[in-house]
Amino acid sequence: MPEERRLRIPGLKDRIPAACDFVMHAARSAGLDERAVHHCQLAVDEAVTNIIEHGYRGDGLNQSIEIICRAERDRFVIVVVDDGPPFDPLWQSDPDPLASMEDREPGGWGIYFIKKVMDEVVYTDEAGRNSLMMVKHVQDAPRLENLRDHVALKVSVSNPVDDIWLFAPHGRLDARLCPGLDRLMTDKLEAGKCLLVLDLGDVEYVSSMGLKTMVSLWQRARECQGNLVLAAVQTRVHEVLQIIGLDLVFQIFPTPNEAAAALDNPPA
Amino acid sequence: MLDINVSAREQVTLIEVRGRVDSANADQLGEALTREIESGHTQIVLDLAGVEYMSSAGLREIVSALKRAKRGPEAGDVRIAQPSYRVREVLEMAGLDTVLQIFPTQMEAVGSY
Repeated sequence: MPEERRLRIPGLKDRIPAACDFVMHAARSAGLDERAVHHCQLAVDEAVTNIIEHGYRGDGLNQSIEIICRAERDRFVIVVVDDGPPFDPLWQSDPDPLASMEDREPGGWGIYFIKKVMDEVVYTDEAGRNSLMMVKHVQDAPRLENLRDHVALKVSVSNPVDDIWLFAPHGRLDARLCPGLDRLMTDKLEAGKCLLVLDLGDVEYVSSMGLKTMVSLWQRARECQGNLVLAAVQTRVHEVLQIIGLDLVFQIFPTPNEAAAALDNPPA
Repeated sequence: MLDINVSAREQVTLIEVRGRVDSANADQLGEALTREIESGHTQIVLDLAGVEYMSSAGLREIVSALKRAKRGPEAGDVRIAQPSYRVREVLEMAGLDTVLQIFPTQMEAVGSY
């Protein structure tokens, strides 16, 4: 059982240093180096600041934020949970670090920083609560060079209909990022949740490892009398599926809602 | 609380900051910068040697101040002196190393005007 620590703070900015101290202490105990510890501090600070400024709109005295830290064998996991209105930061577009001074807005960097300093960022709409999981890989931490070029695994998870789970990765599905997605979706399969939608609406590239992962998840979903269907597949990705005949294996729907509805009412 | 010390070096205004800059106190940094720019002191050196941590809230204040300083009649600027490795990493992540002048020492930053 991995070691888990929890902290609950009111949604007030003057409690941010306490949240940072809590996460830094847990990150050090998990064996992260000081640079990675700083990245974890920055990630939790930006996540909590966003909740207080946008979710709770400065009215966080009676609302709380829960922070959970978990040290696993090869990764350090931070989860931040709040009760603000549903807000998935992963669908927001990134600011441009190469923009000129004239074209720059001063703010808007918080979510971008989280995506650059962490290795996996997963947003889950958990029955009305926002849950943001931010993962640092213990092994990769010393190897990171230029953070601007770093690409994290980013996935939005939701549960639109009873027992149906929707996964929307953002960006690329390649050999480096697939194990994280596979792990997330395997966790659901192992919990007996075998009706899965993979929303590819924000995925512009799927490598051969990505395809292999999708087929393997589909097989395992079928083995437990479930299914894995695809939604909102972009043209270029669809071409790749066609070339190797996977468009005949997967059911593909124009939108995630249609995919979820089809899983909810399978044809007799 | 942030510890902010403002002093004059001939025509240059030196602002030295100590502490951690986050969304709880970044407005103090913003107010100090605004006060100087509005009194016509637009040639600013922001010395970050004493800042061990800065979040995007600090960057927001620096970028706002830089925009305001450049808008003035005389060629204003906000130049950064002695950022720690960690603060520098945050500045670079937002691409501010390309729009801000960053100097390894206070003397070089002040002398650059």
